[in-house]
This record gives sequence, structure tokens and C-alpha cells, in this order.
Amino acid sequence: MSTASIFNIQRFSLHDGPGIRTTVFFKGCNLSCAWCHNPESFSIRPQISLDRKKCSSCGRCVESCPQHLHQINQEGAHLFSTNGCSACGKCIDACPAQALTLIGRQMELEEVLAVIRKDARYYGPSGGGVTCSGGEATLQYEFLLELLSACKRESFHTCLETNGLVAWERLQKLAEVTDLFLFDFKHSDDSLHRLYTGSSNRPILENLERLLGQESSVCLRCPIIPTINDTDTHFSAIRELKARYPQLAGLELMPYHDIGVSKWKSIGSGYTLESVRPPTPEIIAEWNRKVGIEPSKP
Amino acid sequence: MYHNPKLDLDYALEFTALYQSESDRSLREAKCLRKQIPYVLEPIQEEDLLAGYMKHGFVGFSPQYGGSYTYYYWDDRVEAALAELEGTLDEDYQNRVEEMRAFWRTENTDTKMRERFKERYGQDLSRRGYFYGVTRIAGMNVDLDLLIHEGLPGLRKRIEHFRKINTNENFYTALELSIDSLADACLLYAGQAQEQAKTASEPRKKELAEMEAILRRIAAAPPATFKEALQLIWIYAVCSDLMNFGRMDNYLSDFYVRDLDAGILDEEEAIRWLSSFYRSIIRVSKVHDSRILIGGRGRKNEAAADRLALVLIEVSKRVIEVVPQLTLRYYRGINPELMKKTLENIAAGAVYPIVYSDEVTLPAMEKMYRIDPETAEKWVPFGCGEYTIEGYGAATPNTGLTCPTLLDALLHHGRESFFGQQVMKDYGAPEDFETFDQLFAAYEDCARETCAQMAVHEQLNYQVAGEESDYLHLSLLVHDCLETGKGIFSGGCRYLCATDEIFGFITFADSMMAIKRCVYEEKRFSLSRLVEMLDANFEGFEQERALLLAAPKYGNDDDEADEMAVRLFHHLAGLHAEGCRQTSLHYYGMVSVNNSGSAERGAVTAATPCGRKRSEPLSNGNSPSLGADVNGLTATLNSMSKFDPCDHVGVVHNIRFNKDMLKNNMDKVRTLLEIFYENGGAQTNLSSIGRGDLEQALIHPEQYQNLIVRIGGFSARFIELDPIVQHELILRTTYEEC
Repeated sequence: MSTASIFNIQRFSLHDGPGIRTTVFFKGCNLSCAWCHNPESFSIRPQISLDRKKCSSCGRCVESCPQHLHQINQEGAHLFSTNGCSACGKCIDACPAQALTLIGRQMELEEVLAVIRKDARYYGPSGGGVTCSGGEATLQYEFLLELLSACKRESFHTCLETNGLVAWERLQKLAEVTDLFLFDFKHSDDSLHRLYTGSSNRPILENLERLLGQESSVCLRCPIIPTINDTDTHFSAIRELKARYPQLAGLELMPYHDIGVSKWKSIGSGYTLESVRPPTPEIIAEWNRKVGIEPSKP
Repeated sequence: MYHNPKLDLDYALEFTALYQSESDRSLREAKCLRKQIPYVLEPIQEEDLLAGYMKHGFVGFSPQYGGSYTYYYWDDRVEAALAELEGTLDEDYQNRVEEMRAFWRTENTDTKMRERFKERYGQDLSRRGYFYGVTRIAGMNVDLDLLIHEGLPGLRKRIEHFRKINTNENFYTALELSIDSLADACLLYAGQAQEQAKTASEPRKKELAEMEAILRRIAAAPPATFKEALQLIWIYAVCSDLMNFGRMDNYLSDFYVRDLDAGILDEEEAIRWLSSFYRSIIRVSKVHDSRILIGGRGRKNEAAADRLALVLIEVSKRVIEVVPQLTLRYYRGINPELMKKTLENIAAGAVYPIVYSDEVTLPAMEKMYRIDPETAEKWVPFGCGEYTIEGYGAATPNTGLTCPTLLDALLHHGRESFFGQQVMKDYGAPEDFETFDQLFAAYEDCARETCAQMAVHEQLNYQVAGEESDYLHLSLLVHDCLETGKGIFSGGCRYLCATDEIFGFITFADSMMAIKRCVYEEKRFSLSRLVEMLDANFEGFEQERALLLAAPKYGNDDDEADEMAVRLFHHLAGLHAEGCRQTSLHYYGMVSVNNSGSAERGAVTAATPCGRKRSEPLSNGNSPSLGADVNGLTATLNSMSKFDPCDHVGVVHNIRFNKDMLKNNMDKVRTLLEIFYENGGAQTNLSSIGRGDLEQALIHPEQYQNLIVRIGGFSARFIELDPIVQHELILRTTYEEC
């Protein structure tokens, strides 16, 4: 039985494709976008997360950790090093304040399907279904393929959210069991794409072209991050893609929001975009206008 | 009322003398009503379009619980009047008052009923720590269709018709007199309208003239227009303490559509009159009642009814108030506009309509009540959400059972631990319950006896009421009273039922789950150790409490937790049915429809094994324990759908949306809810008043005067609520976008 590292299964998901959906979040990513709001999905391994607001500095975690990775200093601050952490979970059991949680675990296919099936009655009538997201779900290709195939066998609509950095052979195979791709387009400038995500955008754009060439249904999703890609050059590149691929099933701008900031801290990582503020509704409307998206009717 | 202690005392003496002068049950009531009605009616108020308001006197007949119960007597008010009049009353008068006081002390129906219960059980059922019984008639839904289509003259004809068939002469004479009292009320108000018009402003003069004409007409003829029908309903309501208005779109829509088509009414004018109807209901201030139903299968003319239903939803958006509790019965194939407009109301900050599912409840009512599908279509929720059959039933909710307190006492040798009262027999020490099944058996034994006593209490409540009076106004419009010549509680009501309100049921179910998991399955600690933790309110037991909190909880679509809740619910329903079989009631069912009682009872309830601390709120209705639903809205709805609808006659599910989420996803939410109603979901209280709004309202109450919130079985102005209840509302889950 194959398993995958999953860090969340979100039910009643309203924004990861059409209708009412269940979104399966795969852990592990091959990009490391500076603005990521799911930084806990970078690593494929399970991780301990510390919610400092809940911590009472009681020190039970210090006693319980075999690696001695927890410390409470003289000011009562909780210091936690993830280096060498095997995510054994002993500190989680010991914590009376429930400040420590484990992110991600290996799940079997049937286990994931059982959760998906619980909301089966809502999918069809709402035009919804199942979305695989991440992290980058295609990294756990075998499992993903099995999962999407199983969903199709049960007549669930399937969406795959991807950054597009995946071998074409695999993507092609996945396309057979994917009703709609939610395909990221992060930066039109290749060197800046490398800088902010760690990879070139070329293989990604090639995959986009191939998917659209074989008439897969694709919705292009463009994260817009103030100071990074909210430029006229990038907006016109988006417009060009839209013009070149009239067969796109949709185009959405994903304006930056800062709900991920606390997550970076809780897993002990540094966040580089602290000074970036989320855009106002007026700015978002302006961005949409620039790429030719009509404001939605009230 | 005179609002003058001497005149009011005079009235009380006269009423008492009249009561004593007539020994026939039917005629006595008819005479008392004719004396009482002109006395209790209050004048037409400045903006009224519908005449009618009443205040009960010191002594009188209470047609439902407006006064309290049947022939009631309020000695505290007599005492206050006497104190005010001290030194002004001659000795003879004082003696007469004292005789009256002595007379009613034993003659009032409440005392008679409680004595009757004592004969059997040695003590009355006013309060036993974890269960209670009150005396009253409540929640009547009568055949208003009959009232407005027959009018007073048509009802007189019906009386004459059945008088010839049956033998109970005095009963029919009394019914005739009770119609006279309704006509008297119309004419009294017509006179008042005429009088007020003399000094009124021009526009008001016109309104009063219209009111006078309507009142004179309906005193003698069946209503011919929408406005006349509405006025007749209201006059009847005022005289008979009617607080629930049943399927208004069904019985009133032909008047509405006919007047529209005839060009004598337009939608705005109808809204103006319905708003006045709403204001009349608001003035009566029965916040736990005042239901108006719309939708549902089996309406006479669905298209016409939908038109009126849409207007009523609009009125509930314009008149943002605590009552009336506008209630929509959803069914597969319903006009989609009704659901759309409902969600628009909720997104606009209204709490109405409340939505119920015919798909779930119709077949359940058929089965529980043993009735045909056509009769089942007459089902209506009243009050905080108890079901009855409009025009054919009674389902007074007079008993209550607080489940977590029962468990608390069971774990403490029969002593509930908040106040330390002995409330049940000692079932042994915690360590004696060696298995979960043993604990369950003790619970079952105790709950069985409780349900039996409560059922007896409910039956006696009707029986004694029926021995004392025929409840003439109710009997006029509830089948089969006229048909059989019997008063409603003397054998006339076709489906004489009662309901029991259970409190904190989910807290109880989650507690049993936590005990089963932590004590008996995982053996983390013993039951007696758990009792120590509860007694310490978990102080020093934080880690153990974390284990209890981590045990599966209802509301997350977790099969184990949900099965525990469903099993306990089913079992308790069975005990109610068993209790019922020892009475003459047609059905005695339980409801999980709590009002503010879940928070208020929580304040005096010890810590519970689910991890809830002492004095924290109990769960409300069949909604999850506070904060326990962490798997999202579909999971919560799925849990709520698992109960067998044949196990209850009313549940509430509180669903609070983030306002933007609702506005941005109206169609998805509508689809979600419709699927819920079609797959086992019985009811929803929808709202979009978020936590932030509530917190702001506490800081700036002056800016939130009109913030109406849904608590469970009723709504209230948030800033007027007890802090305990406000706290509970803030803690509830709001479903956000994800």
C-alpha cells in the first residue's frame, strides 16, 4: 500500500477550484517561494510546530525531548531548534498547553479517500470535487496518480494545483485523470523567478504550452506580490499569455496576503518579506484591470 | 386593566364571585371570558393598524401561559395593591379580599395540578436538580384557516351543526358565548377607533376610519379582504393568548392575491400591514414563541403562497427584531427564490427565516405520530422549535432534563456537586462502575424513572386543565373538539402530545465518549480519579484534561464520537416513549432546542468529563460543544445529519457564517444547505453576525442597540443578554472561507 506525506485535508474548500471541494495538501515542494503561505509544506518530512501564544513555558517539553532541542531560557522564552528533530512527537504528548503540534504524516491511499468520501454528497450538486495541492503534489507522483485515478473512478471532479515544475511524461499521465489544472505563473522574468523561487521558469512555461496544446483544461493562477512582481512588465506578460492561449479555462490573480507569516515563525524559519504589506481592495482591482480581468458584478 | 389598585381589586372580587356562582365547567369559563376580555384589553396605540393588546389581571383565566395556567391567581399583586391602599379600605372590604385570597390559594389550577402529582409521587416536580416540570398550556397552533375563511358567523354555524349531533348542550352554548366575546372585542375596538379619530391628525383619521370599518365588519361577517383577515387573526390571538401563527402563507395567500388582483392592495401596503402585525407581536414580547411559518409541502395554492412568503421574508429583513420567528420549511423542488431571499436576509444581518427540512421531518412525523402523509404536512415547529400538528394537536413543552447534571450526580453518589444537593438515589461509588456498560446501566435506570415522572407530569397538566375548563377559544379551532362535543383537554384534541426539553445533550455525549475512551479503553486513569479531577475543576490536572479534550468530539464527522451521540439520543428518546406509554398522551417526545438555558444552566454545572470547566456554557441544542468542531462546516453538518429524525420532535443547529464568506459564496452555501436538508439535516439557525461584531457590541453597546442574535430556540437583542449568554455566543464557531 503506497503512502504519501500529507499535511492537511481541507474540507468545504471554496477557493481551490469550482464548487464545494476537499483539498488534499501534499507535503514537500521543489520550489521555495519567498512569499509562500504554506512554508510548512517545503519539507516532505513531518515537522514540529510551536505556537508561542499558547506556550506557558512550563518546561515539560525540555524534559521529554531525547535530542534536547527544547530550552526555556531565564526570561521564560521557549527556544526550539529543529535541527536534528526526528519529529518523534514526545514533546507534543508532554505539552499540557497544546502549543506543540505535528505537521504532516504518512497517510495511506484508503485513509485519504475515506476523508474525501465523507463529503461526496456535496461535490456533484455544487460542481465541486477534489483538489490536490501542496507543497507540490507532483513530487509524490505515484501516490498522486493513484489518488486522482481513484477519484475519477468514483466520478469526483479533480483539480491539480501545480507549480508546473514536473517532468512532462508525468504531467501528461496526470492530465489523463485531472479535470482542471490550477497552474501557477509566478514571474515572467526568468532571473527573478530563479531568485524568488529557486528555479527557472522555462520548464514551467514549456509544460504550460504542452498542456494547453493537448487541450487540457487549465486555469492560470498568478500570485502577485507587492515589490516583487506587481510590475507593468509582469502584468503585460500575463496579458500576452492570455492572448496567446484563448483556450485557458480561467485566469486568476492571487493577491499577496500575510497569513503565512506566523507559520514561518512557528516552524523556526526566517521570513524575508516581513516589510511587505497585503494590497488594498483598490490596488487589487487595479491589478485585475491591468491584466484585463473584469470586476465581478455585485 | 384599570391600572388602579382599587378598581383592579374590585374586578378581582367580581371575577371571583362570578366564578363561584357558576358550577358548570363550560358555562363558567364562557361567563368568565366575557367578563375578562373587556377588562384585559388595552387601548389602540398611536401607530397601530391592527387593534388589540391585552394584559392579564390579578386573577383570571389564562387561555395559554399569558396568565400562567388555566384559572390563575397572583397573590403578590393583590398584596402590592393592598399595601398601596393601606388605610383606605373598610373592614368589610378587607374581609372580602382576605376571603378571596384564601379561596384562590387552593382553587387556582396550578395548586390543584401540583397536589395531584404529589398524590402519586409525594412531592411536586417543580425542581429536582436535574429535571423540572412547570404547569401551563403553551405552543398552540390552531386552525386559523378555518377562522378567517368561516369568520365568526361561519363558526357559529359550525357550532349549531355539531350541537345537533352531540349531546353536550352546555359546551356548545359556551362556545357560542366565547364567539360573542370575540365579537365584543371587535366592537369595543371599533368604538375606540371611532373615538380616537375625532381628535386624530388627518392621515391617522383615515387609518382609524379604515380600522373601525374592518372591526365592525369582522364582528358580523367573514373577512373579505387581506386586512380583515389579518385583524380577525389578531383579535383572536389577543383574546386567546395565541402566540404562534402557523402556516401564514398557506391560509392567508388567497386573500392577498385576490386583493392584489382586484387592485385594492399592493405589495408595499401589504408590507405596511404585516409590519404592523409584527409590531403587535413584538409588543406582546413572547420571545420564546411568536412563530410564523412559510413554505412546506401541502399548501393549497403553492404559487400564491410563495408570493406571500417572499413578502414575509422581506418584512423580516425590514423589521429587524427578536420576534416573530419567521420559519421556512424547505423541500426538494421548493421555489428557489425562497432560499435565495432567505440567504440574502442572513447576509444582511437578519436571523430569519430559520429553516427546517420537510424532507427529514415529514416522514418522521408520519411515523412518530402514526398519521397519514396529508396530516403530517400540517406539522409546524412552535416556540423554541417543538413540533405539533397545526389545528389538530397540542405539544406543550413543560418538562426539562439537564443531562450533564444527571451524570454529575451519578458520579457523586446521587448528589449533584455544584450545590451539593442530593437529587437522586445513590448508585454507588465511581469505582463500583467497573465497565462502561455498568455506568451506562446506572444512567439508564435513573433516566428511565425521570422520563416516567416527567410524562406523568405532562399528562396531569392537561388532565387537570381539562377538568377545570374547556379552553373554549382553543376548542373552537382545534379538531376534533366541535366535532365530538369535547373540550380540547377533555378528549377533544386529536393529537394530545407533550414535549420535554433536554439541555446540554452534546456536552453529555462528549463526556460519555471521553469516559469510555480515557477511563475504560485506554485506562489512562480510573473513574474515581476522573471524579477528583472534576471536583478540582481540572486544577493541577492540565495534562489529563488535555487527554479528555483530545477524545473524539461530536461535530467533526468522527464516526466514534457521532455514534456515541446518536446512540445516547436514540436511547433517551426510547425512554421518553416508554414514559409516554404509561400515560394517555398520544406522543411524548424530546426536543434539543435550548434557549439561553444552555449557558445559564452551564453557569451552575460542575466541570464535565468532556473537558469543559465548571460554569462554562453547556452545548446548545444539537450543536457541537463550544469550540469542539474543528473539521469545517461540511463535517459539522454531516455529524448533525446522523441522528434519526424519529428520535426527536425538534432540534436546533446553530450555523454562523463569516459575513463576507456568505456574501461571496451565496450559491455554494445554498447548495450546501439544500444538500444538508435533503440528507438528514433537520434544521438550521443561520446567522452572519461574527465574533468581531459581538465583541464590538460589548465595547460600544450604544452602537449596537439593534443587534439581534440567535441563541438556539429563540433570538434576542445581544446587548440585553446576560453576560453568561453573551460569552457563550462569542465562543461559538464562525465558519470562514477556506
